[in-house]
Amino acid sequence: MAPDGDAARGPVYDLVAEVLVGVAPEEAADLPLVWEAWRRNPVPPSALHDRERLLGSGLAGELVTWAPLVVSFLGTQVVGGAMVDAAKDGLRSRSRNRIRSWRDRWRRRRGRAEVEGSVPRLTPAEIRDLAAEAERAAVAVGRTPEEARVLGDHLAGVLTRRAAA
Amino acid sequence: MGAGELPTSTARTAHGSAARPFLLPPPSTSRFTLTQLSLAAAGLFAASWFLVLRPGSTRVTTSGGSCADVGSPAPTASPIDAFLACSSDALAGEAALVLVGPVALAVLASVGWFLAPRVLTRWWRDLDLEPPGPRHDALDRLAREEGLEHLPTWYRTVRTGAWTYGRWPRHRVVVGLDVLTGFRGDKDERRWRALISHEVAHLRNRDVDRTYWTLCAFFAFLLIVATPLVVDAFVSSRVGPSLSWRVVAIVLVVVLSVAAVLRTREHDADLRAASSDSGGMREAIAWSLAKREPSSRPRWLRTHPRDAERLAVVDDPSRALWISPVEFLAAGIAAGVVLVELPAVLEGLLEATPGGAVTAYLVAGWLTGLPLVGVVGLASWRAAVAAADTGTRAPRGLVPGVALAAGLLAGSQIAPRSSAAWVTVFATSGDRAFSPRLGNVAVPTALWLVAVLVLIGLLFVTWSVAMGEAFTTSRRPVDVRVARHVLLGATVLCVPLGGWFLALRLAAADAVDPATLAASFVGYHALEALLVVTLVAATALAWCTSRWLVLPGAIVAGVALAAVVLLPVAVPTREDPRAGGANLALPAFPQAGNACLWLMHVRPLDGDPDYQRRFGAALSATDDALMREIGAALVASADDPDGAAALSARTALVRRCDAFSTGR
Repeated sequence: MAPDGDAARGPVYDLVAEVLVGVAPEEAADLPLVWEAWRRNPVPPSALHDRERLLGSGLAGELVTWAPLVVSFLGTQVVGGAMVDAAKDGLRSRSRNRIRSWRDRWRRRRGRAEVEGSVPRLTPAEIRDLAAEAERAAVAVGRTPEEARVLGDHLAGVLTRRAAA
Repeated sequence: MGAGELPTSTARTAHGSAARPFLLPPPSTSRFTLTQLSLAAAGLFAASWFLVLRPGSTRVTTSGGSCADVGSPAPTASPIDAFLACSSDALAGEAALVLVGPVALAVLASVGWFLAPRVLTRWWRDLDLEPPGPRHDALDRLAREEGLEHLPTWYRTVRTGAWTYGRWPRHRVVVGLDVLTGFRGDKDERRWRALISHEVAHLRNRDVDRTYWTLCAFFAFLLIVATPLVVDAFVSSRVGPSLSWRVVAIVLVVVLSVAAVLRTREHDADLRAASSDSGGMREAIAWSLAKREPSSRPRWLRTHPRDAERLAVVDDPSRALWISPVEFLAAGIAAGVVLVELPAVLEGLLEATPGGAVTAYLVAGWLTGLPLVGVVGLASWRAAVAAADTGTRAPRGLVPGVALAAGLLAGSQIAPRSSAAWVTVFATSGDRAFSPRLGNVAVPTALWLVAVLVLIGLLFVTWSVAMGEAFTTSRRPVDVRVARHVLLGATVLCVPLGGWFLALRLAAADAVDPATLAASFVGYHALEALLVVTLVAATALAWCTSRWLVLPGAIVAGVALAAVVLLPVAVPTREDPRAGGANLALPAFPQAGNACLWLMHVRPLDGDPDYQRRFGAALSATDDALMREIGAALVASADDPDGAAALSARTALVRRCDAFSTGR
């Protein structure tokens, strides 16, 4: 199924593209495909990879390219509202994230996740939190800590540049 | 496409010789058969429990008071004939009811398997059809190169990895975008290509439908067998704990079998994919191994093998073909459970046949032998072929043979039917609600039974390994050879297996000794059957292998089995405790039930015409109309105690007494 085109893209897509180019430039060409697939079925990073899916191949998900993880993480954070809320509240707690995750899952079931968000300007502390969250998500889907740190660093760099602009 | 038409994979072992993992049906087929066997056994008992044994339901269907009502026979039939026809119908109906268990499981599993693709597509929600284009063409091209006749439908998902589902011939392969975006059909993309080839290999191995059917059957088993049995056992009777741990044991065997199916199919798919790429599958597994910590879940509960195991098997395919004693043990357990339950069913269906009990056990032995040979025989043959291919030592039968025997013994005791003396638990249980518990058998007889079973296991596995060598020499199509070997193996197994389980039942029920058991086999002409079957099997073996050296081995095996059965004949038969009854005067039986007690505990009808005449006359004065008819028939047929009329009268007498003993 072909992507809807530029109309489906916006600030979040641009952010994702910027981060992905930093992490894995060779995957930039596949981004529209992955973005479109995620937009129609917005799964969070935690649902990307089941360690031992009953009928899957059972091989490690580390064969993955970066694009699904970056799209899913930033898409969930921004479109799902986490970054927006974080910018408003200046504080995020794990329990609130959990409630938000349930809410998002319910919204997805109801087909309500097709909402494009805008990328807020974050404070340095919020950027650090988000980068740490990205590293945790990467490790959870099977990336090594070193690889996860690359993602966190790039994300922090992009967001810092944007905040300073 | 038959197994014989599949392209034969060859892979080099570390020794440089070629192993052929797909010359015979791969190991996952054996695990699949084993799971079906276990499920069938549990289904048989559940139906027996709910539809036959439980109080209340038995009165509706079994032979009982309604058949004994001689006031309404058909005008043309004698009361005894009418009673026999009525009770035979009821017993056959009861037996047929027991088949409801496995049939219900099979139907539910089939419905689940049929609906699964649609349900799963809706459940996963995030699957998109791979649109036509270069990537779709590359996927199709890969599937064709791998030898698929029916191309699958390709789906993509934002989730990672790849998996396969659907029904033949419209299978679906889901490929995660993480894999898909790395795959453009270029053969240099070996890791990505290997992941997709692995899924295609599941289709080439034809294990997708089997696996989904197995999973559906497993969930059906949990739903309609395991849960209701445990709950009902505790709620409705006093055999709860005794029955429930057995149900739990069977659940465990089924769970482990299902997990084994899932694990083994991954090895098979790895090997199939590795057979047609140039190291991509190995590279993908090695990558996976290097990237993550091994799962801490115990091996037996894992649905996928560890990466290290997968790598070892891809490097040396013969590892997947080695004999696993655990597999033999599990197969023995499942077969043991079936061999306790199935004869009861067949006995009911063969109720009107002379020698029906022995026939039922032989038929049950053959029917159970088919899947059993499909597990242990096939495993032996694969191991023999692998040993011949790689130049290693042929497998020995000792440990697997003992494991098979131990499994059969454990299965006979795990069978839920062994959990109680049913006649004492449910007053309405008939005599066929037997309990083959080894604890009811005298110690010397139990030891003899165990020794015979171990010998059967050893001889059969040794024979199977010898048969496996035939696959390395015969030029006939593999499908034909496998089918012929399975049929032959079941035929070889049916007499010892059926005979052993009949012996266990008799020993547990009547506390008879080995000599009496052996004598009863000779009396049923089972010995002749054993010799004929062995000779036929040996001849067929020689014919299909063209290896005449195997013939003496088969004859020795047959003679050894015959000797095992005959040996106790040399031991003096224990005196029947009821023999003294011949010296007692026959009392009057105003109540018919007392006549039955006399037969059971004082003196049975032993072929003495005078005793039969006097007993018949005594029955003629009882308070039961049917017993009076039977008494008259016994008197009239006393001069010909082996004639048809005497046989009918005695059969009617046994069934009427059974009805008395169960309060009907």
